[in-house]
Amino acid sequence: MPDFAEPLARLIDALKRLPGIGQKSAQRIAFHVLRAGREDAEHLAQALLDVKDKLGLCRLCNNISDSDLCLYCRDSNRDPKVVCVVEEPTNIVGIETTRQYEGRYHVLHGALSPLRGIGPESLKIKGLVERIGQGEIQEVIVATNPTVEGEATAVYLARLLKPLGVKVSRIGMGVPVGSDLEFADEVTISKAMEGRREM
Amino acid sequence: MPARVSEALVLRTYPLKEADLVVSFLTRDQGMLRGVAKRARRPKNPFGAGLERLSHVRMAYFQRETRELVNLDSCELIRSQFGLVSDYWAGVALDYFAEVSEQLLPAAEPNERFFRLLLAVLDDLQPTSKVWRAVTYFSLWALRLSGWMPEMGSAPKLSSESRAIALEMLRTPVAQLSKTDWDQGTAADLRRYLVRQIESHIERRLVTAPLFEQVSS
Ligand SMILES: [Zn+2]
Repeated sequence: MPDFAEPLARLIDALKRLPGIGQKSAQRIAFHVLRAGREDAEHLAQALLDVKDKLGLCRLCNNISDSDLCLYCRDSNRDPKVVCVVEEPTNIVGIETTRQYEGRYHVLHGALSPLRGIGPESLKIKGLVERIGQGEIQEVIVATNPTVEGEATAVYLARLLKPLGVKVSRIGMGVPVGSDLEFADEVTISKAMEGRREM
Repeated sequence: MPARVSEALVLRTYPLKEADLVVSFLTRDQGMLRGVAKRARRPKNPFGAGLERLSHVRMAYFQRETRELVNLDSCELIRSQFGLVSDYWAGVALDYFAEVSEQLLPAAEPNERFFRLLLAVLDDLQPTSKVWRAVTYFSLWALRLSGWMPEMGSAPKLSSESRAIALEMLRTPVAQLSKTDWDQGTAADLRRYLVRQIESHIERRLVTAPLFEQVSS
């Protein structure tokens, strides 16, 4: 690796820690910053700091938010009777791009995993139970990941929430659009069969 | 063409970069290996449900002598444990098997008997009423096959029932054990003793073991 002046080396090193950025990309970005005006660099630095300083968690749903309530909890056009439960705030982005879901969210910030030392008390489940206790929520859609951890979390939530009188549903799992059934494994196909719908 | 295909049990995965996974897996012929599964978290990937913990698979991978990590190419599922996910204790047991195996086994040293031990206790987990017996049998034999034979004679304060169970386990396959009606209390002292032995050999605490002490709900 070539030797760089210390501040430049430090920037390259910091950039390399970001996901998807290797040595070459880090160098390219660092040299771009070096050549750009001071204003651009300040803008970038401030944006990075603001993410840390000005964002917190939504009081209701634990989504990332710059105010007490996130934009979905504030939006009176969204259906308060339906709540979609996800593992991470980034999962909301995926659901929102479909423009098909008009309910609210609840972010658990993880999934049950004994192996990683994550039990129910480590997840943001208590707030969800409290929200349901207030009586407005009628359906909970569990959209945790289609992994062992995500499925175990879904099973746990269903057992916990059904006695509270809400409908609990699980997002469909199965064959990805555009793939060929020939290459799907038995778990994927059996989940797809389980989640079949009448036409 | 992949350089090698091994029958394997997936132990656990760790996220890497945006969509990759580091996978530790126990092969029948090469012992425990670690590899990178590129794009494994994307919907269309050549691994499917095969990388969930304790999936029994045929793993295709490239191995370069200079690298510690192999490159995983794809896997073909032989048997999945996904169906056990609705049973809490079976889930904890699977995580425990994975953690103990990963901690006890040295990298890249073939241990076919350990591989067969895992297959046997996975078989025994279904139906899940046998969780406690599978966990106890696995703990005893995991120690023994790693070269540490717990001294049953000097084991402190084991009940006579637990001592008898341990002695039978040392000479009988798990599926043929005489006691079939196990619950959480059965041989709990033996399990605790074995967990302590494992922890003292690996010189760290197991994350999953304390969960066995929780009260069943
Ligand atoms: Zn919110």
